[in-house]
Amino acid sequence: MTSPVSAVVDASTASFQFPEIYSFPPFFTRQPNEATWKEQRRQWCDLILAYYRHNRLFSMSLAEAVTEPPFANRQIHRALRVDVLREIVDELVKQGHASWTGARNSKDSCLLFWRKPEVWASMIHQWANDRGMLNTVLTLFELASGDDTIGQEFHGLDSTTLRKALDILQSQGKAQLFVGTSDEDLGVKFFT
Amino acid sequence: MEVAELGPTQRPLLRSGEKIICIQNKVGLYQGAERDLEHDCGTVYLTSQRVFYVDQERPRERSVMVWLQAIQRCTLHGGFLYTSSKIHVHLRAAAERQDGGDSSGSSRGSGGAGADPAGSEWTCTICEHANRGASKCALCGVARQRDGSSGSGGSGDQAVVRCPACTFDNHASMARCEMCDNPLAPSGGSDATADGSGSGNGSGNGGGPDVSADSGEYPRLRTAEQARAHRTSDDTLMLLKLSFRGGGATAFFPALREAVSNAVWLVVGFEGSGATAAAPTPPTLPPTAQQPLATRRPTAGGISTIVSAAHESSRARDVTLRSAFSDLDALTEKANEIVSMAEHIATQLNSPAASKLRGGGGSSGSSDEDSAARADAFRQYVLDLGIDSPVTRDTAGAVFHDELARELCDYLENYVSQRGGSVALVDAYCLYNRAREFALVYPADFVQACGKFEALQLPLRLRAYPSGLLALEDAAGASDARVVERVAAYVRSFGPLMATDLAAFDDCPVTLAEERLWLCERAGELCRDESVEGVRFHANAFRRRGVDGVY
Repeated sequence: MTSPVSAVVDASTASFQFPEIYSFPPFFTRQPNEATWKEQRRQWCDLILAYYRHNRLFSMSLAEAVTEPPFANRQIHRALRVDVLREIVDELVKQGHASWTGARNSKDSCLLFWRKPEVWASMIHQWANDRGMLNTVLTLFELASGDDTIGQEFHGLDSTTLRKALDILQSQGKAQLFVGTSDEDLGVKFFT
Repeated sequence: MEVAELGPTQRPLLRSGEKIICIQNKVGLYQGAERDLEHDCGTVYLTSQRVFYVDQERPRERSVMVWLQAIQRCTLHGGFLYTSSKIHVHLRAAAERQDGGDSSGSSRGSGGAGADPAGSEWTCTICEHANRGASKCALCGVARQRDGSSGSGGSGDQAVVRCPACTFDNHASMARCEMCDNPLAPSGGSDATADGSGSGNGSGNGGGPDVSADSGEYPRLRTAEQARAHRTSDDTLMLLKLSFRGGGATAFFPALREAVSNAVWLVVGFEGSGATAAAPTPPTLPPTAQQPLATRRPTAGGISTIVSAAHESSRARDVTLRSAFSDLDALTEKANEIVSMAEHIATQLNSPAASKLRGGGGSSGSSDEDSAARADAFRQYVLDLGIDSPVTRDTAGAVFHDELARELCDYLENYVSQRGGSVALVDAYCLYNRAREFALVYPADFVQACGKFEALQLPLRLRAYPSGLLALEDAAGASDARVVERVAAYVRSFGPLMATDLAAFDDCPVTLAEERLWLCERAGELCRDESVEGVRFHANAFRRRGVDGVY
């Protein structure tokens, strides 16, 4: 969980290296053969998580995503269909790497957890511990966008994901959430 | 009765020009009055030359046949309660039968009603002159002596009658013993010759003048009981009963009677095919027939004119139609001739001389090989020309689909194996119907017959692909694994394939190529790429990666 600042910066500046399978035309067609499809889906899941992690993206709108890389490859003129992408995200949700957002059962957008909320939670708690922020009330805004967290991996974390991580810490008894006047100014206090 | 030769699909092998007229299953045979347990249940084929019995249980060993010329007359006996209806077939005597049957290709034809004296060779007992045909010796004029040993000719045991009193061996023609003057009875105990002369006397009941002279042992008697049973009276010796346990006797009988009456003529007609072809001239309308009406045209008007004009136009139409169809009749007549000509060419190409010609040509280089290949191709075309005696619903009745399946197999087996062991059913249907000339089969019958391949243990199979495409496959040849292997090899060497590409490689219809690709996809060997161009199949790269576990 140690995340050196330099590594993060390096990764974001270098462009994403697509795997070889990305230029294989059948990769963009849903395979009817069940065994082949499972393998194909697994490779898509890996690619999505790697790509989103590389670009530090947290949410995806399916209809928009299919027109962009990694779901469209302009070199070979192939793009994934939305219903196939939905199937793949379903699989990610099942694995705990994503969750559907938006209206119930619409399955139009999702959050991607390229780190699981549990991992984020322990990462944040570690940081608070290191910085001596225990027993201090912090706002969520400070955590995600404050000057203190610049360089940390969870800097710029999506608010829903952050909330999930803090919920986990609260259930473990390592933090306490304080409800403010609005959702924006939620406060949190870390314990040992 | 003789042992019948069967084809690979257990149908009787027909001679050229022979046609199947009627087929009936579940028929048992009676030899004389006794039920023949070895031939108890089978299928009877009536052809234009023979009657076949093909046993259901053991077709190879127990199938027999009788030449139609050997049949003297036949009668129908209806069934009653538990007795199934039977056809009694009265056979001619054995020697005559053999003559009639075996010499169907020889050059005789002047004999009266097929009961002519034998065309076989015989040796005069007096002067030892080798005669041919005639009933008297050409050299000494002594009448031919017909004793049972026509073929074996063992002179030692021939014509010996042992005197019951003094045991002296007398010549057969002696009425009294040369030694003791005791009257020699033509007793049945000694051997076949004495027996033969005895039974010959009793057989004056039917037909020709030669019957009394013929007295050969019934050729295919199996057991001693049966032999004795037949010896008791000549009537039973020559009687064969067909018991129709599955019905159909009433339909079979008229066909049999007609075939028997036609049989003699068919044989004669067959040997001189050129002569007979000219004989049945197409029915042309005499040109004078319509002239009187034309000249009687009334000059006045009125209703009668209108009526007669209508009459005339309808008559003209009639004439046109009839002449059109008479052309068609002529074509039908010629079709037979052309098929026989083609068969003739085919046999010539097949003959040893032709093959020697082809074999000898190997020394002088590739052009001869080329011509040999061409000759082979030509022979194939000729062989493909037609089916001589197609199975129809009329001839086969209840066993129609079974018989059709057998014929299909006979006809299509080569074709299927040439096409890599798999042919779309539609193609097979077209090809088969083209070969049948006029007697076309319905698609439904065709499919039903194809469905019976497995039950009849024939070497083809009907296969329904998941998409609904039906195909005929070689039962042994085209296993899925081999198809998958071959297609995967194509993809490896030529890159991604579309169905049209594979169709070009395999020389098969696109639908079938598509099925083969899908088969490979199901096997996990290929994966698809759908785009605006169509569906293209690639080697399955996912699988390889899955093994490696990249990322």
